[in-house]
Amino acid sequence: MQTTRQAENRGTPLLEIDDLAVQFATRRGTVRAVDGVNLRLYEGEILGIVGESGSGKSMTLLSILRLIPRQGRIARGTIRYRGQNLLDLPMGAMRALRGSDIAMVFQDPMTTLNPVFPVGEQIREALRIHGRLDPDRKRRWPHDLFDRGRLRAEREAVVRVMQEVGIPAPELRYRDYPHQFSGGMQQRALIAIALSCRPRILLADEPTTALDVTIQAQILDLMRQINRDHGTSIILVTHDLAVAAEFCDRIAVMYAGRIVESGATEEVLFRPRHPYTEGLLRSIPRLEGERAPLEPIPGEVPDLAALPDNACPFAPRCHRAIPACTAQAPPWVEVGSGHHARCLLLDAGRREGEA
Amino acid sequence: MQPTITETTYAKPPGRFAALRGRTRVRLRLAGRGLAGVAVELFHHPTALLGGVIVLIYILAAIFAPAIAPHGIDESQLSQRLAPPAGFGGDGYILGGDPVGRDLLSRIIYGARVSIAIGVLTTFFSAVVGVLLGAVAAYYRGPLDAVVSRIADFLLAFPMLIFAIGVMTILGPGFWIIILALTFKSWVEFFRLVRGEMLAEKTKEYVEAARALGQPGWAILLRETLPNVMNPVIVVGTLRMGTFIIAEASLSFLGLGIQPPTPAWGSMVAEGRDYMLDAWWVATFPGLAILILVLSINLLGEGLRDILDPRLKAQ
Repeated sequence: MQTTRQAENRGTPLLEIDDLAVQFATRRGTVRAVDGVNLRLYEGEILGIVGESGSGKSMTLLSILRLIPRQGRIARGTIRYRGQNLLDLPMGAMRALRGSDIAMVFQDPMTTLNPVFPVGEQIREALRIHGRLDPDRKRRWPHDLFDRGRLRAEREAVVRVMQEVGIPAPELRYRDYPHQFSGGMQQRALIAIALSCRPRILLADEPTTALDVTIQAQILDLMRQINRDHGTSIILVTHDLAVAAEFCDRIAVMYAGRIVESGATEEVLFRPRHPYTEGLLRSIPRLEGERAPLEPIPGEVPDLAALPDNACPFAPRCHRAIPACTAQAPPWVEVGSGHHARCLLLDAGRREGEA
Repeated sequence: MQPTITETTYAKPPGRFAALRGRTRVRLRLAGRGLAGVAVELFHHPTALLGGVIVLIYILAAIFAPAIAPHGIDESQLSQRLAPPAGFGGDGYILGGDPVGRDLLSRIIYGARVSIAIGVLTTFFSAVVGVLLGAVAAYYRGPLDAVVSRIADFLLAFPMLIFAIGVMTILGPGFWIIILALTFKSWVEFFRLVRGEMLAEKTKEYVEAARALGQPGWAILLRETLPNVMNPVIVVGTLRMGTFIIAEASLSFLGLGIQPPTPAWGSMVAEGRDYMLDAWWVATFPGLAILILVLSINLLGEGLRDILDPRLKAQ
């Protein structure tokens, strides 16, 4: 279990998402928040999902834990974890999996920690939920209430986890409440909670967005260290391309609930093939090279309730769009080794090249 | 005791009550401070401290009544019938004597037992019923919420005393009947308070985080969100306790509550009413006892509100 898993060592994927669709019934119609997403996550890999707000990144992540809001439903698709479709699991088995095999780190650490309990107790709670503190014990209550030695041992386990995520003086911070922690320390505490049960997969929903830049780097380093030391696979959702470039082995770009491009980080960022990815990259400032003016992508994210079925959702904003783009759904084209993009032009271009 | 690093199989759920094991005791943490912290802040709040000290004196007097009271509750001396208090021409009982020659002071001290017991127990039962129903209704919504909320609206339409008089008339007087009558109506306040707070609380991110950790719904409800809404419950509970004490005194005054010869302040005021012109002390001192206790409870409650609920302080 302690061996480092390299992303190159691909066997069967740890997590396979196929044709996932999440829909919300609203008064204006059915909002297709996620529409036909396919993803593979391999052991020890860091996968980034990037895209604008409302592109379905977070919903994809929440679907994996089956935690999408009550108004929404997973309309179709499968999510296979080690061969088993999570969407078919009974609720009890799903709960046993949450936190224990698949854990999640949220965006805003301040609101994600419960304000009325000391941080250490919240980590201890996470360990207890899945019985990681002492799995052999059968009868626990009410005997434990008086078992000081046991409590001490549990506290030590928590302190070790706190140490691992780099919370200084964990014995002293154990009794502190969340508001006594800085933002970075709160996020470390949340990571400690997520890691406490040694999950195989860590889902991180914009874990650094609420933090300032130096702290962002520390938190990303911490997550990378966890990935290296424990072989934990990570899915990082972010709208920050720089973070994704720095951190991820592979990147999937989402737009309007679909994946428009995916591939190895260098491939996607240095040889983007989808016009949307190109647009995203042109709209962030560069420090090196000549100072080209920023080019924002014109237009706005489309209304997810009114997406046409047989058209590219990006066509209205795409500077390369041709009439055919609004007449048929764009194909998923392999443009390089493990590098795919969903664009009609790529398909046409390839055919022309072959011809 | 190290957290074990094992290949976990999800085919084996940890059992229905796994999340409950080990921490079933009710944990009352007051807004990230702990009880000791609240006590310290109380010392910096003069009116709340004053209220708290007086309430404490009342409670001690009620508990140690047999040791403190100079005379027994039904020990009467004919010579002390309607005797004036010391300093007003009286020479025996400190606060004077009642129409049958019993010591007023002793009866007031014993009367604290009834008032405090009914105040505390009514608050406790109302809070338990109201908080649980409110939390469950807000967390699960649906038909349960609709039904309980309608019942609450219905009960709110009655004034508390009218309702209690009705119940007492039907069921007859009695200590537990008073508590039942008051609780039957007053759980609604806790219900509405907790329901509202919980509706706001359950949308917070830590609830989702708890679900992502694999906690079952009822565990999140009881152990994650409920402690977050307990501060206003404590404040409202303290403030309502004064109302319950007045309600009990009113019922006893009307003869529907605690029956003589058991000393209760309400019935003592009623006894003294006929002698107001000749022996003002008989009705006045039990009345003062009610006044001071309820005032102190309210001072303490408002102080707790300032300490526990800074949002209200700002207004």
